[in-house]
Amino acid sequence: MGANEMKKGFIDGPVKVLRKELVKTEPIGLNEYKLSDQSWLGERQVINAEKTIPHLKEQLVKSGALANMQNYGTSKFEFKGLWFADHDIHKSLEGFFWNQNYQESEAFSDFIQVCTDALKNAQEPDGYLNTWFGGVHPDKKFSDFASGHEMYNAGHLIQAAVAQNRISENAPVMVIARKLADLLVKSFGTPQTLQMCGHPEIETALIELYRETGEKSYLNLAELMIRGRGFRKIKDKTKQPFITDAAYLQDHTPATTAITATGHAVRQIYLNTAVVDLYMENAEKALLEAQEKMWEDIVYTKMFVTGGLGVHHRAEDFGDSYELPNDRGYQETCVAIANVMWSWRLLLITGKRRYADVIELSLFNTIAGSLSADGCNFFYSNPLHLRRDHIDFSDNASPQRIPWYACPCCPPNITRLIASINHYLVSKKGNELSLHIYADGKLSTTLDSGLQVDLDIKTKYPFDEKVTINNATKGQYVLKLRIPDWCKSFDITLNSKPLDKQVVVEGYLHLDRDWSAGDCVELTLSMPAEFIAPNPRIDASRGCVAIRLGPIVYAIEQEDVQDSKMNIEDFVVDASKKPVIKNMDFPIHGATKALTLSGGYLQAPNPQSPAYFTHGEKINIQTASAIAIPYFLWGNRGFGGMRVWVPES
Amino acid sequence: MSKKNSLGPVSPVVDKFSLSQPLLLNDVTLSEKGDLGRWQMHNAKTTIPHLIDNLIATGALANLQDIGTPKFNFKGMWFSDSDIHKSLEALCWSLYLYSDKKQTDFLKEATAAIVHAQQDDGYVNTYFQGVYPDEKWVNFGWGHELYVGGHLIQAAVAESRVLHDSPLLKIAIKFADLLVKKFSAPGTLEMCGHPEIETALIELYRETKNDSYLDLAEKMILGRGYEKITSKRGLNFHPASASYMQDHKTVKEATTAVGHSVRQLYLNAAVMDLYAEKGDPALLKAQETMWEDMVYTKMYVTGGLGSRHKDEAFGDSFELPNDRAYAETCASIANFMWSWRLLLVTGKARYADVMELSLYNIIAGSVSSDGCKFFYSNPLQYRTGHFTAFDTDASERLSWYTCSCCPPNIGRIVATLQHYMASATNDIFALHLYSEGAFKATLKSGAVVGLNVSTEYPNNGAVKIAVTENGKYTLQLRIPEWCKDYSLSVNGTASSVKPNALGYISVDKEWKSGDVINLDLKMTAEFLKPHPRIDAARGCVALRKGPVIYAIEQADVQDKGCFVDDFAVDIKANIKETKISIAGLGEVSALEISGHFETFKASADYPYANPLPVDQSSPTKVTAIPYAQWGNRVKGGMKVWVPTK
Repeated sequence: MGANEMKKGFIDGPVKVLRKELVKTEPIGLNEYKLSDQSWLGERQVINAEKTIPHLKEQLVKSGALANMQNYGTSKFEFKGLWFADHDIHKSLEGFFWNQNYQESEAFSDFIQVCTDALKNAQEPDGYLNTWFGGVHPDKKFSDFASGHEMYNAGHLIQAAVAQNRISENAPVMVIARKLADLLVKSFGTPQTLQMCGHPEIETALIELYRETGEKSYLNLAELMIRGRGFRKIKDKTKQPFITDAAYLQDHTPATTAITATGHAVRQIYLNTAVVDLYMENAEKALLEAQEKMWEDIVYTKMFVTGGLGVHHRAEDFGDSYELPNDRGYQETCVAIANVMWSWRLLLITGKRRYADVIELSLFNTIAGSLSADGCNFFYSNPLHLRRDHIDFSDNASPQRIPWYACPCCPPNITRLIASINHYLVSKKGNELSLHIYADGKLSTTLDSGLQVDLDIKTKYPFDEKVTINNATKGQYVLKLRIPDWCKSFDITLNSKPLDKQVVVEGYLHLDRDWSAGDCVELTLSMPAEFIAPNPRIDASRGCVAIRLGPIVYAIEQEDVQDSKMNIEDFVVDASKKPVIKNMDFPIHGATKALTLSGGYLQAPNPQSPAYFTHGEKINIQTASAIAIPYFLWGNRGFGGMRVWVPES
Repeated sequence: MSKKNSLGPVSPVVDKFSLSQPLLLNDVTLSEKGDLGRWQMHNAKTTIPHLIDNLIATGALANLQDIGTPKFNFKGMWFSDSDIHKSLEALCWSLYLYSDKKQTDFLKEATAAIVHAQQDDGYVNTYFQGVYPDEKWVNFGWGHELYVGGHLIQAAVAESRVLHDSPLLKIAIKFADLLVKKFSAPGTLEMCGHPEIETALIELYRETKNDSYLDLAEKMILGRGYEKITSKRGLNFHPASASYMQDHKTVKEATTAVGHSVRQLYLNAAVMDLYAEKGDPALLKAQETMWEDMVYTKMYVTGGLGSRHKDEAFGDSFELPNDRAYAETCASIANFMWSWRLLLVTGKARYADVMELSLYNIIAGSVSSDGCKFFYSNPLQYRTGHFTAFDTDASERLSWYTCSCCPPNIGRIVATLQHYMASATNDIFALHLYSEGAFKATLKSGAVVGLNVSTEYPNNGAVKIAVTENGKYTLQLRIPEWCKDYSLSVNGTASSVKPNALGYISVDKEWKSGDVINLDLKMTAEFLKPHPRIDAARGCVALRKGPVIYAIEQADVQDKGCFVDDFAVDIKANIKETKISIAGLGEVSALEISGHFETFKASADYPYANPLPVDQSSPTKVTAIPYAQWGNRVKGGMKVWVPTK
């Protein structure tokens, strides 16, 4: 396919490790782990290729984002969309490229060509590329660093270029991106001329560009930008009210000392990704130490039980510690995606299982739920509670998955993550191969020792507790299997015999042996349905339990209520009674494990006065049961009520 | 230069659709010995001078003074003219109580600035005149031109009612006449995305008796509900949805509070104004239903309204987060104004109950003890380490805001509190709110009412009413909703009269000067439980004594080395009434409650677990203070709803 001819051999995924001595484990090649259509993630990749990507193509045309670039500099030019709409193209392109790694088609290639031509048309001779500023406010180029998003957009273009360069023999987008990156280096590449973008993204992109090209000036600029933050220097020259606070833009504390997440959640986490990238290049301990502390701050005090992050609708920002409202939890899809990217880097560096635990939680709950079963409708925010009379005024707070958004940052983000998801499941180092997240598929990679390991993994994980690994390799290596944080007991057999010695180090079961072809490992991760309770400071969930089955968090929905008098809002669960697993043929998802909960519903009087009672009023409870379904499936059968945290009776 | 017999802010022309009528402003004198009278004095001496300073410092005054000159450089939000107008309204009402040379001078200076800014055709709005002259009367959804004009009219009505000379009224009439000319003819009607002009035009009609203002207001009110209000501002995140600006249903059909809460409530005030003049029962029916919807399912226990920070909007029913309660000060003030209009029309005590709740909790709490700092949002929980990027979310009292709508609103409501204490019919005099003060009014029957009220309300429910004039009339006294036990005596003789269906006890008597009525409304400290659908308060109780809601604050647990965030109350233990001293506030009523601290074990990091690893402290006592007084000591956590265990 000419320009888009696929690269042969090892293909780097989104994160490439140059300084191997700084990481505990390294990514395998993107093409070394083929997920089967049987696996849930593999099925997502098929839907991504067959449904979501064609949908994005349509929307990029329909929204005018493509025309902004195609018509740039002509009399037909009429800017459409938000001021950073170019990035819809860039981020989608990145998704298209990673997708091509396993799904080549002519229709994709043609569209990529159209986009590439549009980018070329929109790029100015000096490398500048931004159709909003260039076309609408040419006098204001590179002036509004807080909110202009010019470098944020550039970052996404660079990431698209890196993806293309990694997967294909020819990378015209790389030429465009480098021209823009060179302009940034020329304009901002010294301490005296440095400017930082209010929305981080350029930093991680520049470092990956350095990794791909070896051009040091990109790394240097990224480092200047990362270190330049924290001194309240980012100025908003458009005088937009409200978005001037340094902490909102993560410009209040330098990266070496910033240990609490503040401000706009996606900005914070994209910045974190870059900080960890920088550590992977310069080995500065203070960066890693601060980042691990910030991760603890986020995961231990600011993360919802589904892995959702970022609380406030108002400014898409983090709330205080333990401020985790279920109804108004913003939990933007992009934040959970950014967290996978950030946690993955921390996992590579530290090898700590906790990072894989959070990747898994985010992936199978918030991210999985953000996409409709048909692949063409998306959540922007992912609440844990929807009241039946819910009303909102903005599309990004839509309680239903919708095909596109005024700010369509999430749909292409989902696409680029899913298209490259096999990058985030497995890693290797020395003679060790680590399986972090189990998915049905074929894995073939060469360890540092030169040994090629071939595994055929059979599993319905995360919906089933059994993982079967057929080894086709002869030779000595260590197979490390993650025993997830949620898993309280497991069984392991080798060739149907229990292992006499189980070595679990830091959450990974080590199988260190001289393997024979045909060896079969069977891992069973016990997944009982269980109720979990919140830290008492999480006021919004006081008196409630959440239901979890393995890594999957459950929700109750009005659609499953049989008793016409029962409103899901009033259901209370008896947590002393075990949930009963029952198989349900879910209309879209197919066979699903549902849980029957015992309890009742409160018969509180309709308020006839302010809804506060003096102590002592009796509320009757009518015995009833409720059905819980995996959270990610909610909202696929209509628009009723939903809740993840269920009050205890 | 103050007038006698001035009308207050709400003075219907037609009386047949209202159960009772407001008194004249000088019929009521609140005493500085009582909470409300003292507040009016503080308002005049501290808050209003502070408003003036800030109108100058922020450039709002200069916007008007410099328009049309080379010096013009617009400062503030696009509707910042309204800061001037609303402050002038406050200042006029306050001058009626406390004359002040500096304030009078400022009134003249500001009036001259508005005269300067006003175009020959009557238009005045410095943002559109000076910054976007091509976009006048284009953006009705968000331009706020009519909203700003409404506040100008209200200031003019205030000036006209209390001062002998009213240049503002001429300006306002010129502006209103422009509106009538532009928007009254069939096919030319436009409505403002932010209601306010409607209630202002009706009051202007009441003041001038010019029917065209009432007609235009009626058209605007009845014209809503057809999704006609458009926002022509290009690129923005502003919600354009019709329900956000109450344009999704007609006012006769709209029975749930939705969208921007101040917009909803200012619109409601106008709907009731229209009802009071025209008497269409469909309006009243819808409004009473909406009030029930709002008060029963969307109101915080403090009287706060509008739970969402984003859009400053009402949430869903029972969506009442404590930490993220927006509960804008202006929304509670607007509700106070709306509920008063419903009270006048229906005579139902429930409206006074909610006015009282809002007044003693949200509105009282929104201003600092020095009168110069204000809350914009009024949360019910402040977490240890709270952070926010926006001043409106500050959850601490600030001296001014980017959008400084609340401070002048506080100024104008406090300056008119005497208007909201009592009302009268032909031969009934009804006392709604209790505070130290003197009442003297002549009823339509000719009876003269003279009453001296002595009380420490809201800290103590004992109300002594000394009759100072002879006259035959029915005295009605409100029995508050919170009051389960009360006693009444007239000249020492106990009375067993029960409240009527509206919530008032009536004593019909030939009153003699020297008669004494003792009403004792027993205030018992008690725990309130939330309706089970209020998820954010599940497993918690609130503490109330009389109309006052209490809160626990970090300052009271600091010396225990604990965080107030971790306190759980034992509701079986007694509540002890006590007093504590707070710098700047003096002695404050307080309640001592028992409980313990419950903390997540430090070793347990991931916050979701089974079983939950928590440590409990030994039993201890914590002091709760009135919610309105929070945030005056060491910065730290605060909670209204306290978990039980």
